Amino acid sequence: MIGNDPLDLEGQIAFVTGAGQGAGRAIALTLARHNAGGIAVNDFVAERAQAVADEIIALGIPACAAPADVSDIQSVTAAMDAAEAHLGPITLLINNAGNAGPSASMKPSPVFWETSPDEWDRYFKTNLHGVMNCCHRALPSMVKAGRGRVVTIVSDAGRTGEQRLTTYSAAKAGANGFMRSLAKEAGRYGITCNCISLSTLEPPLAEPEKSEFLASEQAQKHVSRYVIRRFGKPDDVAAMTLFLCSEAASWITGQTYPVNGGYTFAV
Amino acid sequence: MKTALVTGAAAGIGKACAMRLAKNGVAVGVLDLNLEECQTVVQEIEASGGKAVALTANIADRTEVRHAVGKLRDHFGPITIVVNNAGIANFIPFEDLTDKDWDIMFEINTKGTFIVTQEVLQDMKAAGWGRIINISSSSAQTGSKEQVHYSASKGAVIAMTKSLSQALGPYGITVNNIPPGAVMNTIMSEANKDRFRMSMDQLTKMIPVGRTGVADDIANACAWLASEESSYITGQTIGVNGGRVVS
Repeated sequence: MIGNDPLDLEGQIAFVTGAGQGAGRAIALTLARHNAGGIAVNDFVAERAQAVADEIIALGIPACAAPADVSDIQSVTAAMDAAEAHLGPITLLINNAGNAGPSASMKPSPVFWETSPDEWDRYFKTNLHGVMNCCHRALPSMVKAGRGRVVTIVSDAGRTGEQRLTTYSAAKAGANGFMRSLAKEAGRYGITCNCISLSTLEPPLAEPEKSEFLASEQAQKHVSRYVIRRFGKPDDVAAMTLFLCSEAASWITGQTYPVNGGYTFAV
Repeated sequence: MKTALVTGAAAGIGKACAMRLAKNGVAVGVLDLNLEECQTVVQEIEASGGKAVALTANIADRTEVRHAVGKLRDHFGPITIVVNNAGIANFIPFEDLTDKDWDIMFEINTKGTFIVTQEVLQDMKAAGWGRIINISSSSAQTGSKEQVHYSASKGAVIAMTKSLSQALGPYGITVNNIPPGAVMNTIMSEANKDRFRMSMDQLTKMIPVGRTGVADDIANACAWLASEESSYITGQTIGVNGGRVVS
């Protein structure tokens, strides 16, 4: 049964990874504004996590910093244990932490055959193992509660392919496949598992550097490929995450929804 | 206050979309073939404090659509949201399909969507803002063996969604489609009932979240796509199916 605000989170506790900046921060703040009962703000950098947790507390919503390296399962377990002790059982998990997306400078990476195998692991550790680690620790709480939402941020690079992002694409596509299968396992317990696939977000630069970058020929050329001619914003990602976390989306699972300005389409 | 046109809104998914949009403060044109049934939906919306007007048209008839759109515009102002939900469905083995069966399916599901969208578009372009939400079908994603005509007509709607999104993106208008899975009490479940070789238990077991859909599941996604928050999403297929069809 849905009340007047179909996006009300009914006091549920969220764990948001990579939430110290950018889309992760926007997600954490948006969930807080829609009646989440508490937000655990994960980031690799403890100071960033604490700063966002403080912002949420200032909104009157319980929050805590939950610093951890998502690629380390022991670190994830300790952070979620501490978050649950502080806030209560986690029923919303947002896997946002990732690495090696397009950089602000958009400096091209080497073609795959010129990369060193030593470099591959770090993409898989964060983008795929990080998702698996967080789900492995969080799902038992959701099963016990008989409800839950897992939202994983993936990339159009993994969905449709992107040159010079080959290993990153593979890791993100892995996370996508993992989520589809998890959706089938977890649906019976009232848990939905979905992915949001992004194109390029505007870089997390301060002004005036950000405006200068967005006005640059390079940036304009980039967004000319998008139906909606702008880079994505953190709030675009947060809005879809909120919808998928809400009761309004209870029959949606196993899906990958692009939030990409129409860069590519999903069937 | 924004104004939405919802086609096929006398019952099922269309009615749920109209009710949900009205609850979100949108004035709604409730369009269907039977005016009395539309009026009943309007009364329900008004009883809940919403605004709505009953409209009748065959969506494949441009004159009728133009008249209905004009009436809605006169009532509530420019139409900047359209939910193309009206459609028909049945099951006919491919070898038994007649030209007439094929044509009527495309006449309503595909051409009707084209006509309605074209008739409301001027308001969206003038406003520099618009939301076009097409209700397609999961059969267009997965196939459906006795619905070659139906699934093809809905596949065309998905292709229309993608192409139109490219044409309208620069005007602040997004175009998306929702392919519903097994939603009960709709034209699909009615068309399906004699052909169901599966029990409800068997069907439910195939759906990861463990239940068949209700019209509100689709309406919730529809209302979200109609909101400000979805402004960076266009050309997409937003599956709502309990996990039975992954994409």
